[in-house]
Amino acid sequence: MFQDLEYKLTSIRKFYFLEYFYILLKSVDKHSDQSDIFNYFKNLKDVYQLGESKYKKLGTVNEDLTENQLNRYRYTFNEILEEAKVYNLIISQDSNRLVISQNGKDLLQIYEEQGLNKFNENLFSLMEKTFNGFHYLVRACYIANPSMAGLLIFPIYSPPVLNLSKSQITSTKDIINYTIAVYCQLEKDISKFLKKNIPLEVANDKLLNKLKEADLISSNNNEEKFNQSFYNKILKRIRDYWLNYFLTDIYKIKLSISYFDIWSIRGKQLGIVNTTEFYPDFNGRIVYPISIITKSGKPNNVDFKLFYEYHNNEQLFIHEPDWLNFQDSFITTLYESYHDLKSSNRSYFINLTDLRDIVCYKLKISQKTFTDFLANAYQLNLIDQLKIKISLEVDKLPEETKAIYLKREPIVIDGKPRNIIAIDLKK
Amino acid sequence: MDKFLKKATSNIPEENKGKFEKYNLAENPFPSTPIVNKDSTEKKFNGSIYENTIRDDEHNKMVRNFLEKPQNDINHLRLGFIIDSSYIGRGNGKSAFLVNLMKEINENYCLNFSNEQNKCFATYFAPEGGGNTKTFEKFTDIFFQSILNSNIINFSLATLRLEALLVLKPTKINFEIELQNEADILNKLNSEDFFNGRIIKTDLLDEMRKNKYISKLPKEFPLFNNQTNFLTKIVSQTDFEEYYKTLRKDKEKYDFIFTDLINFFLAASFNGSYIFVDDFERIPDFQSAVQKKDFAIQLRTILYDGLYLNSKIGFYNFVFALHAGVPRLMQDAWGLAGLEQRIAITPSNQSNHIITFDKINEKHAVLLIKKYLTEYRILNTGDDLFPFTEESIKYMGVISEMNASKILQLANNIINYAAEKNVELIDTDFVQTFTNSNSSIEPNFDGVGKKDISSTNTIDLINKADTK
Repeated sequence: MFQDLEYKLTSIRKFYFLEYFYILLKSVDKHSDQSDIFNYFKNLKDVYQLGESKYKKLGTVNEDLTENQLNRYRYTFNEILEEAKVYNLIISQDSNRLVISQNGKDLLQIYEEQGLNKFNENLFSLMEKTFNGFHYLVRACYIANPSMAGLLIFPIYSPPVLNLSKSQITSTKDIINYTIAVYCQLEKDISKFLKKNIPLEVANDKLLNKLKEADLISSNNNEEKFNQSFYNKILKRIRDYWLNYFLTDIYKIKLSISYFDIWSIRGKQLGIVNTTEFYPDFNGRIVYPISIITKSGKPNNVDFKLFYEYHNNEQLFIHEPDWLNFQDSFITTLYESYHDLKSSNRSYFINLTDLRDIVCYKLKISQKTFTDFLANAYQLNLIDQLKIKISLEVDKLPEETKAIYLKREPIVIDGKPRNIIAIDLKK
Repeated sequence: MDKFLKKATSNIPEENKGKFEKYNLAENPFPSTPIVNKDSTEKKFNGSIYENTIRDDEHNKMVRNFLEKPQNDINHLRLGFIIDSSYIGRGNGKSAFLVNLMKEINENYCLNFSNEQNKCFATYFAPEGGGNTKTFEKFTDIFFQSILNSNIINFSLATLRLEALLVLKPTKINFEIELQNEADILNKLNSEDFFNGRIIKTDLLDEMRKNKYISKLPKEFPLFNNQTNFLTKIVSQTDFEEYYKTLRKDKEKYDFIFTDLINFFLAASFNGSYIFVDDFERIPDFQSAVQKKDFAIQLRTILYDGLYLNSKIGFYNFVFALHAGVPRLMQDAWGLAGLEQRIAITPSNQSNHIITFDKINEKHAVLLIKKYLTEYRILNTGDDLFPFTEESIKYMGVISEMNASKILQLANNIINYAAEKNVELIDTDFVQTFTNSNSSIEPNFDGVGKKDISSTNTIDLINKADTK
């Protein structure tokens, strides 16, 4: 199945946002001394608000960075630089001097003249030519869960989700009971989502042994209180263990969670896969492809766009329908999904990002396509061309905590950030 | 002069009226937007076309648990809920039920229901949508507005004046002739002109003051407006309205509504009232957790354990109409405010204060359609359902998920369509043709059991790629 292509999945560098390449290229274009480049890069990172939520800052923060922050920035900078060198976008002249190559200049020009999407597409070609990582990712999804069109679930059951509070977990016995509750829940999920029966008791025993070996919980006396300062550490171990178990044992994906994250988050920016941690009524993360890999040439369906051709004659098509072909299904799905959500909330306004996650999953479209289509539908609604009335507002729902608000950024429609939506049938 | 007198030679043909005449109907009997608007003058919109047999069960329970119970029973229910038993909610006839119950109560002020033990009025209101009613103070404002709308203050003023007049027996007023009927009493006894020159109004007010409840009212109470040492003017409901507007602090408002106004009503021989709050979910929908809790605590205070007269005697009996999902919204706040023990909002326990509102059935659908048709019949021919058939109405019920408002709206559209197409009989086949040609994009509201991602329909791209 995976013949011919050579995968270099772990040669990718550790950062998520593709726009970093742009600010790096721009910095190297302006300066050649590495420390000048870094300073310029640092400023651009702030200007483009990369790696930070655009909506998190309540005003301009121009204070000096702490040493820690600076080290993090420098680390990211080096990672991007190394990857840019691999693609021949930047050339090292000597230990301290960098210059931008012709390829780099061309790419910079594409960003400035044609925008981020075209820039990303070009970057994608460079990445895929070098690593074939997206090919692996898309293939792996479809193979891992053919019954649900490649949906990968990564459930996370923290104690609060299972109705346990921190005060209820004090002894080793409590931890053991918690892990049992978790794996029972996971077994149910596996059968529900993956249509498989996989007993997890043995795997859970392994987990407990690991916790004991690390001296996080006691190895003999079950009733013994464990050191409460380990509480978060233990929970993190348990969570990571199962994430890893799903990835490698169930989905047979030979990657660590951190590399998998990088591939899937970069894939999301390109419209190849979708991933979200906030899918309504699901605890954890989901990843699913919104593209296909085929050998049989151009699909009959017009909604697919050729994205890449591999040297083994396989092709990657992304699902990117045209608005005019797709407006009916989009608006219908938007309306139905709104009602699904509304019926469980019973309020007229619902969280727009929840709605987006559902619509994107149902229609297998990217977040960008969703935003574009919603903007179109909203326009039609404003000029009274729709049977429904759409209201988009910036407010957040009262029950939503600030923390979640900060993690999920609003969707910008008509130049304004929007957090909630209500839809009504016109009478 | 020609300019004035010459007539156009081409006459505009008379409007093709009687589009529905062939069905023996004066006009389309069904509402196009079946939302009850109690203030509409059009009977198909204001809820007055009402088939009461459909809601017999709910009505009986209301009478048994609320209207019959003597107000002086200290344990009478002060708060009740009408809750949908299914999520179909909107358009199930709750508003029509409440509006008609209000009218029924106000017909005889509940005396008939309670074997003359209770004299209670009823008011109806719905909080404004869009988060305008978040606080209890705002809730009190619209509650007072509903009291004004019900004209009950004018009625009470007339009662008090009539009682005083009967004691004073002024010779210049001929009771038998001038105060014959309800409308006369209500209008004349609230009119300055009626009293001018016939009675010293100060005497009238002094007589009214002898009432033990009136004597408890503070001197700024609007009944005593415009009173100087020598002159008294007849106050009306407007004075109450103006007075309320001058109240700034919420505490002042609560004292007025939940103590003073009650003394005033008691003086006018009411011993209670029913306050129907429709679409209650519009309040919690927009409240934060803190606002919900504050609201519930205020509610508890005025209902049970505040220093207000209402907390002592339970004069206002509130009935909140809720969608099936609202209890969940309010549950926490209810618990925190200590209301859950007193008057649980969770519908699990079948207590007297909760009246569940069920979906209507096929028989009800037929009754409902018949009721509307009858209201607009030109001649009574005995064929009650024409142009519909019993089967076609039942079928309409099924495809409208037995939701009363959807059935009516569908009937409005179908009969219109049938009239345009000159169709004689609206049978099941015709309903089918109509619905197929108009496949609605309204999704099914029934499948509300939580849809998680495992049961969400999604496009399978690999399959899609092969299809055109």
